[in-house]
Amino acid sequence: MADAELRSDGRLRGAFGRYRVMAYVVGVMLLLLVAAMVVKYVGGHPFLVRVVAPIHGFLYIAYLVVALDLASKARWSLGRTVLVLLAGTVPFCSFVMERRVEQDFRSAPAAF
Amino acid sequence: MLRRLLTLRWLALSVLAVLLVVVMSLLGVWQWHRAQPSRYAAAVSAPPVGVTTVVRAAQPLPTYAVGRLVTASGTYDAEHQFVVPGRRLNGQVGSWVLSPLRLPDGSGVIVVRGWTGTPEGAGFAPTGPVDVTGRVQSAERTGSPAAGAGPELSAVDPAVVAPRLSYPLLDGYVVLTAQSPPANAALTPVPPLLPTSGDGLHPRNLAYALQWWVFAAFVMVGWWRMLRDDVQPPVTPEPAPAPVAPNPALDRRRRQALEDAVSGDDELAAYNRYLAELDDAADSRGR
Repeated sequence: MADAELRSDGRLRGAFGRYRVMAYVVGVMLLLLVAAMVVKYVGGHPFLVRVVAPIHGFLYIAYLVVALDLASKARWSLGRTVLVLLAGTVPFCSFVMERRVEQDFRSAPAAF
Repeated sequence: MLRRLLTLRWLALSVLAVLLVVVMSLLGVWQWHRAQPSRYAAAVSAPPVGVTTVVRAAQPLPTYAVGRLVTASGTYDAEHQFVVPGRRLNGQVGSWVLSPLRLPDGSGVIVVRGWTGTPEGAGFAPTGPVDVTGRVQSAERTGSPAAGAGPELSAVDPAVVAPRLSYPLLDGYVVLTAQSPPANAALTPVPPLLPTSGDGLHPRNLAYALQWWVFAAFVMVGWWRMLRDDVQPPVTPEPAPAPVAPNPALDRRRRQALEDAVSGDDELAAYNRYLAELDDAADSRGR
């Protein structure tokens, strides 16, 4: 394996690792946000949303950054990139998407 | 790279990228401004100024002047004193008592002099020159034109009062906070309404500003990466290495190294191993 390829593979691995962490974090935060919204709109206590919503907002931006970085390093198609970005906005979806991305990565890291 | 940029496709992409970056940056700047403590809040803590410097004659009251501390010197219009009943203060219903204050320039401004539970006992405004300090309030719009000719008003609205006076009135009104000579003790000062919006920085707008700038950065980085990949296509993953054609020389050296190792000639064996490694290295570099 040539040096350049090895290096780019290492960078890809790093980008993938960052993506996995953020996909998990955003997924958990989104579930927390849903719980907070239930507390607000069913329970009538808005304080949880006030805390969770801005944190989720910041983390989602961070998720976008690492996902776009991975997309560009792995040379994903535009459609796939958009799908992965949007997965962070649907509860549970980011876990599913993270799993699919991981499977692709495991099966063919070179062609990934 | 420059030549690639001058192709139609890249010109279009670049124009689009620049537009996106400009729009997103401006959206960020807009949110940044919205995040700043508002002028409304600033008005509350600003030092007092003459009333005519914030409220101009014959002009609508600027919204950022609401709550501003102002001073005014003049004489109360002794012939016109008004009451606005139905005003609550400390849980009691009473009336606001107001008088137009004639300013040196000939115009007037409505001053709410205070609240009283017994309008009959409100007394009258001082007749001599007074120095008034108070806070600017926006006019209460009644929606209905002037009620009768009596002193009773349904709201503090200069537009309703002005037709009954022979001089122009400033828009809005002033709630008295201090007066020299002192105000009638029978009147309780009315707490002015202060703008509630804009108490300090708005973190949400700050976050939105940051977000727009991050998006603008996305566009710039994306544009650069696309251009770089276009000019210099990325190294595509190598296909599995093709089986190496047998190299007679290599095989010979390997065999030799093995034979030498077996025969016990360590120095010769090491030298042949070295040659074999050189061959390997040259082989992989050549690919």
